[in-house]
Amino acid sequence: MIDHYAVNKFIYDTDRNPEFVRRYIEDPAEYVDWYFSERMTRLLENESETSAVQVPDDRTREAFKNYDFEFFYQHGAHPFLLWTLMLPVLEAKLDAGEFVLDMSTVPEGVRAENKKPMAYYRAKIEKHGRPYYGY
Amino acid sequence: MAKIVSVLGSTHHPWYSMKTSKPESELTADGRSLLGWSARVQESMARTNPDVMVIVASDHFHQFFHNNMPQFVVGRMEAYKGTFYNEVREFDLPYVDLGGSRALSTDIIENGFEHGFDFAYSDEMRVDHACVVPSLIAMPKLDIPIVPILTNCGAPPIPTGQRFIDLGVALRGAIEGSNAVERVAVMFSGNLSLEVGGPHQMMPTSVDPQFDIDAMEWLIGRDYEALKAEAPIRQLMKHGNVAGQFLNMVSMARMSEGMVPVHEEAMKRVGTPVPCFIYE
Repeated sequence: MIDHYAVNKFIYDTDRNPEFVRRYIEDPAEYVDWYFSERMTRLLENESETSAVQVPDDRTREAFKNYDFEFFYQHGAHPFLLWTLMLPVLEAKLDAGEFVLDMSTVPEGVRAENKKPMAYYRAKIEKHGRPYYGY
Repeated sequence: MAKIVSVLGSTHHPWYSMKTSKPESELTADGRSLLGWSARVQESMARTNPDVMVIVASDHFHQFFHNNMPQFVVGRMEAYKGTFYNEVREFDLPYVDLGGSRALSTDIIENGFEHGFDFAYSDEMRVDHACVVPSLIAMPKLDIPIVPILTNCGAPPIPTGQRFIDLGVALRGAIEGSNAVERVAVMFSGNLSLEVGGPHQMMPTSVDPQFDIDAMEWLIGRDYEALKAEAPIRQLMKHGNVAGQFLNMVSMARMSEGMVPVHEEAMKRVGTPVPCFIYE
């Protein structure tokens, strides 16, 4: 299980900030540790104050560090948020050769836009269907 | 008393600008179809000559998040900035500046109380592609002020189908009760079946072709019982994991009752067809 609010908050708050996205791509371990210790409980609209939001467990921390989007997808992270953050991550990692797309998993006739990241993403999440993302 | 001179229902396909901002010889079939739709809407705007365009759309987690999620929120500014950086990154959507009508926004909020809606409001709102793309479609020069009204169609719990039907009635009453402007176009921004970040994303076929057909019949026939039955989020998810913005079309159907249907079509595309409605 995941803490849906905390997971979605990490994704939302990271993706809306180009500098956070850059840090998450370049050094996920450093960024995730920083986010969890410094920012997870900060109010989004008042950064001088914190809330009672719980910092997620180590399983969630490791999944973010490993870009384990399949884990978050299958447990009901918001699919729109998750894809939107993973797109630039996958673009960067595929371009750098750190991730490799298995072309045999690419469906026939898929359109060109974001083809490789989408195909890589889809191959991992397809078996989970559409998990409900309310919580 | 303001008059609703047109009710429009449109796609907010985020690649609209990228696909249509090309030389004629480089346009894809999809780009041509989208430009054709834009031409139809612009013809309607020229015929009806609105002072303001109210846009009913859904924020895509750009400005609102689960920490503070309004179900229905009215923008109340004299000007809006549009497009977020990740929409430039992902869709090459341009940053835009749009005019606003704070007076009409205030009237809609205040009149809403009399019509059963306590709208949230925002005096500092930025709009995303759900408002920007319909604006580019209807008025490429972005020369008509807007009033954005954002609905929660994607962050459960979301309002019921009946509530979206009621929104069509309440919004008509709230607009017609305003003396701030004379002529108002109302643009509803949404989709039929649709998937983002799910197993059908960007596939060359519709997510749910039967739903696309049924939904158009229900909207055109004002079959509110069928529309309401389809509105719960778990039901909508059968037609794609972000099919929820179909609910804005339900409000459109109710508001446009009794008006002249000029165009009612699901535009065929390589993927999922998109809704195209004009009532005057």
